[in-house]
Amino acid sequence: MRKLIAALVLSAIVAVGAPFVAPWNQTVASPIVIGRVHKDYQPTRGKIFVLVIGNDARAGNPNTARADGIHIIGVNTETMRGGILNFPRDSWVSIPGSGTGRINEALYQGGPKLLATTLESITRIHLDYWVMTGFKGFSAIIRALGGVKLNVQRDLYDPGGSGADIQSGVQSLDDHDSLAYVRTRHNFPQGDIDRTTNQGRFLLAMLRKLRREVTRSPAAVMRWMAVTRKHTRLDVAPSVLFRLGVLASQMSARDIGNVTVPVSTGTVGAASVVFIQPAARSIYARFREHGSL
Amino acid sequence: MSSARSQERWLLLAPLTALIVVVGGVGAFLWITNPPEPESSSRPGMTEQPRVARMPRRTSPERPPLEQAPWRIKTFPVAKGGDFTKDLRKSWLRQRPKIKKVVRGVYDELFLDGRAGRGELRDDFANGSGRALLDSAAGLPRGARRVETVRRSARIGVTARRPTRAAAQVVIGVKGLRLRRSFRLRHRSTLWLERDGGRWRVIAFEIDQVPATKA
Repeated sequence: MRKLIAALVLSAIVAVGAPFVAPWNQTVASPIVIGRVHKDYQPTRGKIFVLVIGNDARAGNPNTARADGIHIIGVNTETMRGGILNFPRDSWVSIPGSGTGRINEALYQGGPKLLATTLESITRIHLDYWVMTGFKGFSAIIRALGGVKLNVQRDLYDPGGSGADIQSGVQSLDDHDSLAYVRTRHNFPQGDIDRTTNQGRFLLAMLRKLRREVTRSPAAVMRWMAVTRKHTRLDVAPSVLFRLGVLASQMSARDIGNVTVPVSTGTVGAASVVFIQPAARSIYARFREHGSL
Repeated sequence: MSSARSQERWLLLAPLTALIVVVGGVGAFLWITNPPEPESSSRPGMTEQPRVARMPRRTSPERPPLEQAPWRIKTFPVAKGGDFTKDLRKSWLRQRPKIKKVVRGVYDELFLDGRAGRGELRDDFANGSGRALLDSAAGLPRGARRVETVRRSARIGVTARRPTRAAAQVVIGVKGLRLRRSFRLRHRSTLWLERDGGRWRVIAFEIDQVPATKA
């Protein structure tokens, strides 16, 4: 009882006395720390997988193109991480409705859709979209975007093949050198396998460029979109392409793995091919589940 | 026993005494600063007593409404392509005021009219991005008042040939009061917008908001 009375008295003293201790209506000029807010909102959700195809269509073979570059780009919009899974063009695979053959044949036989179906049956990854371009379209894209900067890992000199003459180190590649870079295989110990990995590196360099440009001006997304639509074939609606472009511009190349499926070299009859190794299954499973590598 | 009892009584009485002294002191202070008005006599012919001189009660002067920084908005066409004809340009120009209205509206809601603070946003957002914007804690801190924008600027790129997509880069500088202290904020954000039918909507955003270094 005594304690209760003492507590009540103390409270009363504090209540009466407090205004005399802290004057009101006085502004103290110190900023309130609100904290850094840096929240992004992405226009799409979940995991997205896009098949990117580089075909060898040129003046001499406009209708009989085969796939020279085959890449599945995956993005997890929750983690904002991704992956590029590269397939060497000579990979010996089962092509639905056609038996077995090199994977690049699927494009020749049934277009991008058959190639997509072939990859889905191998990886069990559902592909949401595909985008395809040839030599001419690729060069036009790079020209329109003003070239791409990337770190070339070794000197490339291939005058009789891709026409490459590029020194190692950080280089700004114009349309001619960019095409040569992604086509070169003779300078590499593992030939086409290393070329495929290089193509993945080039895609990452383009992503870095997109991000740099969008940081300066977000409207760059629309410019890239216009260039892509003009020089590629794709089954992506414009509104979806816009959303994918915004999403891509928010991703860091550091958070995107570049992986080529493990293969071993061999022959089928007289044809020189590569066989995808069983270890690839765990890569597919990881990619399917996480949308990243 | 009796001395213990008297000690207990003293322990009870001392704080009570202190309280009475304090309350009495407060009452006296208030009386001196605000004595009651003497009643005016109602009898005819009787002269009024002279009023006691006293300090006039302090009242806050009426505050003028705060002036907000004018919007400085620049728009430009993106991906003009080969031939940006007069008709294409006219079609593009028709969209400019609509986009500006949406952009201004979003930031008015975040910083001025209090809607964002109440968890409301207008229907300028698509696919849940409005909710995400509210959840991002961008905008004013709770309880902010006397909010004044010191800067409001935007650069908006709009697709040229078919004006259906836009990207707005916005900078807002704000100062105000909260919990009797002044604050300053610098807010930078990007809105990506798309036209659906006749309406422009925000489909994605990126925000960077920090307290400014000067108080």
